[in-house]
Amino acid sequence: MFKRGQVETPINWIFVLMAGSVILLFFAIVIYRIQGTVEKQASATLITSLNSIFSGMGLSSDTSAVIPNLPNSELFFNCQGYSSGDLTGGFEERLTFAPSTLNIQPLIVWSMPWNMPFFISNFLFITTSNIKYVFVHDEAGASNSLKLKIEALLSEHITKQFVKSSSSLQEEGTITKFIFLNMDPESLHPSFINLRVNALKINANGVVSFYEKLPGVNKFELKLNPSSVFFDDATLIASIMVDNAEYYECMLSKAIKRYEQLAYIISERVSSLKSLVPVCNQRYNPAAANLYSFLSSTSFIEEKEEDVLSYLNNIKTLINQIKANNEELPLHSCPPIY
Amino acid sequence: MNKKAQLKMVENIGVLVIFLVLIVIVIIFFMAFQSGSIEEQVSEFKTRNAVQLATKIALLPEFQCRRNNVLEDHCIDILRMNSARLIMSDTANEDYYFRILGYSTIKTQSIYPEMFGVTLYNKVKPLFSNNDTFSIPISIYDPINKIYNYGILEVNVYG
Repeated sequence: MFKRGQVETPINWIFVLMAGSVILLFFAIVIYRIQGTVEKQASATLITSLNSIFSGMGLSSDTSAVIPNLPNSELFFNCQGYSSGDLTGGFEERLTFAPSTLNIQPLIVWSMPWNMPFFISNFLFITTSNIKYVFVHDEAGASNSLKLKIEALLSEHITKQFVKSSSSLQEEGTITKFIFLNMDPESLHPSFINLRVNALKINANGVVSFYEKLPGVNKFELKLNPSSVFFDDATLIASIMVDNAEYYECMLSKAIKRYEQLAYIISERVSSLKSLVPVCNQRYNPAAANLYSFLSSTSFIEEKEEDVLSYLNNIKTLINQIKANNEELPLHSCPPIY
Repeated sequence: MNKKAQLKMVENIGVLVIFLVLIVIVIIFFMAFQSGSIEEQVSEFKTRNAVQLATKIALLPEFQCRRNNVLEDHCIDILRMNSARLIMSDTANEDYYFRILGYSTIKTQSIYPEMFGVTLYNKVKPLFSNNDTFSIPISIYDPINKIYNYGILEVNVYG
């Protein structure tokens, strides 16, 4: 049997061990919680900062900026919004076009007005200088016209290259997106063989087709059939900025919805002008008729390419007519329609 | 155990209890400080939200004055405003505008030369606990008479 003194010493040590463990456990839990909170706080701060940047840039037209000092993290975009880690941020009805994944250091945010022909909204383009946009064109008229148009439209901050053939360009360690201007996608240089590469074919008639090349093959496959469309400069750039056909279609349908709301307001404004400015009543008739046709032609026809083309031609004609109506009205001392 | 050992044990437990009590006091103090700071942040956020909303409304193409698609700063077109009220109250667009404007009341008040007031949007939060009001000066353009009225845009955000 143990003596009293012999029992007391181990009990003291057990007590010290237990108390020490409790104290250590307490601090370990506190540190673990604080660490988790700090990480979440960093993501939340990033989302809040991005939201402020996107809101601010979305309000001003024709602005392009490289955003410095953002923490190096990955952002995922879809038609509803974006996410970083567990946290998500919404686009808040902003018409935003971005690649599905991008590393935000350094982030390029660029806005462009969408006029159809009256102002509908600003398109917000988000990308990074780590993504290289390679435009493949030939000397033919339509391809070269597209090249000149895109060259003039693209933001100075975007990493871009114009080439005559995609097969001569070697992989350089950056994400490369190929855009074929009025020509079919060609095979790439063998250095791209193990990479997933996105491509876009832009037809001069307004049809865009999204392609993808999977690792191990050297041939682009069409991602979404039938093809999508662009109406003007802003929608043309939007199709270049995204790498996902579904995202583009979804954002474009949101844009069309927005356009319907604004076209309705302009149409109501014309009705008010007709009744409030009787002298100009007759002069508003063509504009009112064109706006009415415009409003009734917004549904997409996607079954056949000839339907898509006829729809596009119809929209482009109406835009030009409404623009001409608007320019003509002040010459007769009538308030313009927009 | 002898009395000396018992005393030592009680002394150890006492030290531990005091230590834990001190930790609890520190935690309570820290949390109280944090909650004060959170309340301050919430109030700051609400005011900022009202300011942002007022700026957002002044820049909504539904109301904006534009000449050849060039924006005129802080200007609302009367005809657009009246048409926009119709589309904003339409049930098909209710969700869209709620996502932008949330629970708020937005009014324009023309002060000079004409005096009139128009409620552009009104969605009051059921059982709201507080509301923040923010006003910005704006021009209200009458394209028929080509007159700019001086007015204010009043935004009331419900929390």
